Amino acid sequence: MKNDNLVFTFEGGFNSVADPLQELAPFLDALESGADAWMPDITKGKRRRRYTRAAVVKALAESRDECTTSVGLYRTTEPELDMTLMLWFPPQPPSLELWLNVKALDLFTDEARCQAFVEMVRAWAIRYPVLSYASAHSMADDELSGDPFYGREERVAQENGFDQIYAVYWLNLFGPKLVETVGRERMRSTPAHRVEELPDGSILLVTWPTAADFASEAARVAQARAWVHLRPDLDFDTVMATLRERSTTLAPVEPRFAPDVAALLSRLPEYVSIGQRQRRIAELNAYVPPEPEEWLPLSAALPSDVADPKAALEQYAYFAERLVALLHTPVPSVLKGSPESLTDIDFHFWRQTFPDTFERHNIDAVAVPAIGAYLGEVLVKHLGGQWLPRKQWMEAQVRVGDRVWLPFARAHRYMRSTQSLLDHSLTQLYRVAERHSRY
Amino acid sequence: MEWETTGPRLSRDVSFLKEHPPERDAPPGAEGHPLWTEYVRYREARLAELEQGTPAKGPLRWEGYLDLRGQFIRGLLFEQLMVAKLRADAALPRSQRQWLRDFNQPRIETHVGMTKADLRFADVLVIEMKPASGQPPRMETFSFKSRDMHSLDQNALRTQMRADANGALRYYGETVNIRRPGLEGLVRIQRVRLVYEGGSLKPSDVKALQLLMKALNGRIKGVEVQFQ
Repeated sequence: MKNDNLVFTFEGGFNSVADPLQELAPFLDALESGADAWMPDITKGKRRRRYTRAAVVKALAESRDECTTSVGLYRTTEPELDMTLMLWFPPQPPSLELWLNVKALDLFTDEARCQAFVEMVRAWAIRYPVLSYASAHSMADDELSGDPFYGREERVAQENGFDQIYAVYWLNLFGPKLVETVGRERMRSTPAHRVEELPDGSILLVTWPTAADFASEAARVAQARAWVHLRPDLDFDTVMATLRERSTTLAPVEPRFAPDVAALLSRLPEYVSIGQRQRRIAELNAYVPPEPEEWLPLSAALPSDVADPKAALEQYAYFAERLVALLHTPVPSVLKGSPESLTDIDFHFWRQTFPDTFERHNIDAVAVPAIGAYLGEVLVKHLGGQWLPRKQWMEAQVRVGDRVWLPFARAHRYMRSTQSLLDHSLTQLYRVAERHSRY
Repeated sequence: MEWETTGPRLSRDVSFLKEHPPERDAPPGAEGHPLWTEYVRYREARLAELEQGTPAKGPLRWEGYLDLRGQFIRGLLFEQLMVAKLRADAALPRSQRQWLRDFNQPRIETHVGMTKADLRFADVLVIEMKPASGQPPRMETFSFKSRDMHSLDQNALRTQMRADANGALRYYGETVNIRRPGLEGLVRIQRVRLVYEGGSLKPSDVKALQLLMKALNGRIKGVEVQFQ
């Protein structure tokens, strides 16, 4: 499935007094033989270096503070990888912690690749015994499963962790304590693709040969069977209904956004969590902003009423420059004054929930004239528009084709709320004006 | 030729701008201002466009730039919002409080100067007005951060949050020397709270963030990290 990741989190015991290169060698051995298309090629501590074992150790050394250190591991090409190896040292209980996020779950439709992944995890778990529980699964489905709170208060969840079988994932490592809680025999007899006891008493359980098709009916049945086996208090049909509902929520939705605002809307889905993303795309597919009303037919244009049109234009240019000064750091393209800059500006204000964050007085007195003038200048520059200045700047117009546009009136409506940034975007007004420029 | 030297904007003439780089006309103190480096970058970007012959505008002067930017500082609003929340929390009966449950009668002071390594200003200092008899009054400090962490990878996020937590502890935690008149003296800060602005600035993966918060809050003593 596109837009989903494979996430593996792990915390295991670690010998902190040993030579770090030696102690980490089994970790890196397993990584190098288990990772193929997603193998990291970059390490980052204080500095960025090409992946080598020495570079990993160097990054860990330079990022070290009293009790912990970490190294980021990435890829320079697709598929994207976000991996962090963390070490904890005394007086903290020494441990090796891992965050592994392969941003291409569909890689794991391949059974051999999945098997290699499981072998890698197995090797890690044998060398660095799992402290309580570890899992690998679709990131989106993991989120819908309620991980990490499972309905508990944040503080309680932080204290107790995964202290009972809240869920079963594609790959599971149950630490000895959890194995005892459930019962070793029960756990060993779980119906699953693979169940294996490891030397420290922990159990490795894989529900299904491949990770990517977790939402298929067969994979869900396997997941539910394992789960109700480990949790005899749960009912198979109820569990299946929950899992099917999750699959429905995650079914991929093709983006089909309203064309005039597609450039803007396509940037919004990543601002909901990955488990809600397909729902968000569906919601945005159904969203059509109202047609812009900030225009008059050429015949109804308000004639210019200013004594010194050049001075009025200078003032608009000054207002527009103030938007550049305001946004040049977060939105570098604002310097260009292009149609694409308008979309970047829309997006930035939306991200910042700008109209709902800053003081209304400053928005109306400072932001609105700056935005209106900037929009007007883009119409002038890219659609051959002409300013029709007015004493009241709010009434100023830009003639484009058979219409005159009221950019300040648009900016005023645009800045009413975060939602109105989408309903009355600069992106949309430009696109509509462009269509009417050729008459 | 228009020089515009007296208006709010500088000339768009390349040779004029080159002869008048920002630092040449910087008023006293400007170069130490947090926005100064941004202003210099703005001037350089405008100059580069003009040099390429792009019909760009003459840039704003420093005073106008500073005044404009000053009206839209997100961190300041977040701080005001948090101070208001803490004051409201302090007014509630103790059992209903969200932030200040460890105080009988909390008093809230803002921008309190304190020295350890150097002089720093804590966003908020909370002082117990009714300490248990014979006990020194409980004190906590708050540090507010309005940081866009949505798109950081896991290690960058970890590094940033650790640096913020260590910094908060170093400047506003453990034992500090308060400089505010009337409160002067060496005191012990029981807890530092580092509060990040949430909403769209917050990292979007709950599990990833939770792992970090657990590691930070469980393992750095004296400092507690939260998202609002």
